[in-house]
Amino acid sequence: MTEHKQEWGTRLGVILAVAGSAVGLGNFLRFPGQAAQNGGGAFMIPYFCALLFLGFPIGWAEWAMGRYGGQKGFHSAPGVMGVFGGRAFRYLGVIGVLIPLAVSFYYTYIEAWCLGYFWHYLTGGVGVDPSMPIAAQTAAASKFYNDYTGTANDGLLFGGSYETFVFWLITFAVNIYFVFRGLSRGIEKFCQWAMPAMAVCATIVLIRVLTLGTPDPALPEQNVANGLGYMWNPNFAALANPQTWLAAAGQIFFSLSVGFGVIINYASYMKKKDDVVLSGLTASATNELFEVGYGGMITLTASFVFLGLSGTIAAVATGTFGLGFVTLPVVFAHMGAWGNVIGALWFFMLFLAAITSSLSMYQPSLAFFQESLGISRKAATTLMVSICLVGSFMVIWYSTGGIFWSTIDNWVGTFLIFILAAVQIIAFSWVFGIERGVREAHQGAHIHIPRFYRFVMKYVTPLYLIVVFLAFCRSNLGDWVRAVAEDWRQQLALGLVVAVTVFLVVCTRIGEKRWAAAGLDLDGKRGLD
Amino acid sequence: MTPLGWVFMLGSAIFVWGLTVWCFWRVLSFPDEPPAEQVKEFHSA
Repeated sequence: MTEHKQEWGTRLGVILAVAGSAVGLGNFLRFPGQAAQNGGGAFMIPYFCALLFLGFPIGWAEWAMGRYGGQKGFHSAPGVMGVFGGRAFRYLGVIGVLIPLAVSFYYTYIEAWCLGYFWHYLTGGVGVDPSMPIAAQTAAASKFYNDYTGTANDGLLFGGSYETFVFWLITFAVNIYFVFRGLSRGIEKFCQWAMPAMAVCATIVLIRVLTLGTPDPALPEQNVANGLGYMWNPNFAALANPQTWLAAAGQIFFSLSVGFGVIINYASYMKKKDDVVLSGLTASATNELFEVGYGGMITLTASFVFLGLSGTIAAVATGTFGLGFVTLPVVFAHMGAWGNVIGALWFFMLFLAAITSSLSMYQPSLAFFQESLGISRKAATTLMVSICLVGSFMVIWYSTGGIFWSTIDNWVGTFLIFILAAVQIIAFSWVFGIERGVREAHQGAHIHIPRFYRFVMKYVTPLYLIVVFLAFCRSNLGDWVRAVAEDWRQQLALGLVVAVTVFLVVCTRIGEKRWAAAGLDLDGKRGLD
Repeated sequence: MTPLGWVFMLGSAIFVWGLTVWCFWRVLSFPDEPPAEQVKEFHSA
């Protein structure tokens, strides 16, 4: 239906691209905080349960749906989901284009912070003096972060040093360059280099952290073993708290990038007999390796060794960005000659984690514009870049307190992901049919989905998802709605999301007419040849 | 770190490392095309 024929070069390439999409800042910064606050080592029990009953099944469903839809000539979530569930699911599939597109508005901005911090560590650090009291160091790191991200005032980034904006421009241009080059020559090639590079950086940082010993003999309790203990010592009482199970499910869910619209798009470029079961499992396993194997060992251990128990508890309380961009710069300042090297490696690793994720956010909308409007890749890229420029400029301009982008993150990057994942697993297990779905997934598969997963995918996963979603809504939705009603920046952010959604719905309507006129099986009435 | 802390940490690390290494070993040990008999079996089902 379109001028191009995009394809993955190798199976390893698509696995690394999907894994790259999943591995992001949350693996290194969010996971350790969640684990430490929710039972330490005991957190891993609900965490691995969520992986087995939520992460793997939804992932497999998405991989199989994407490949099946691709065989029908569709590469975007509306097209693919229409094949599985008809018209209603086609329009619900718009969420699968909206999520990656809207999240990219702020994700490249955060990515630019990583690149900027990397640059600063290469050229001398971020101005934290380790001879000052810890509170003063934290204040210095905090001031640098606030100035750098423009949290004090709207428009600060355009009227201040311009540095963050310049790094954002570089980041955005690099993203568009690789996306425009196509799947195999752009995204795949980049991820095949970036993923191993990320592993090397993470390994060096991990080795350095695990060999820190007891840096201050006057404080013998601040050592590596106790730092690991802070993160891993189990508190079984936490398992009785539903919040622990909710946090574990949420972490797995957001970490694996399921329900994001990316896997469906990436898998749609696979050949009919390419394996999806082992590929899906491998991509998820790679994500887990970075999250548990690296994220679970580095961040809090380093913090504990230099800042002690109270300092680490305070650091965790500051959340993902406080931990990554304020606490860790203080920690690096205490590493002496190694500090700037490890700091540079750390932020370069975060930049790679972020860019392999952001690359995956552009391809779904690019494919969608091409196939719905019937335009060339160049025209689709121009359209996508125009939308992204409007969205990103608004994110950068309305920078006060990070309210604008946090609103998009809450409603699109969190709330809508639950919706899309639920729609996908229902379309796969109930509408398409679990037996038929698993049979489709097994085509060309190198391993088979264990038989009991038919039951899991049909009953356990949807139920698990609904329970987690309801608990999530109960905890957050009231506050979010009240916040939107009271804050014009949040209303503006939601207005932007609604405007993009309307545009995507119109494109879907246009595409629907074109696909029907072209004789495509847009409602999935016919089987594959 | 308590003994149980070590158990949870090493158990988790071994699980994720083991799963990842096993998956990549399986991926790299297969050619890009699926085994012929598997395809045949599927089509005859």
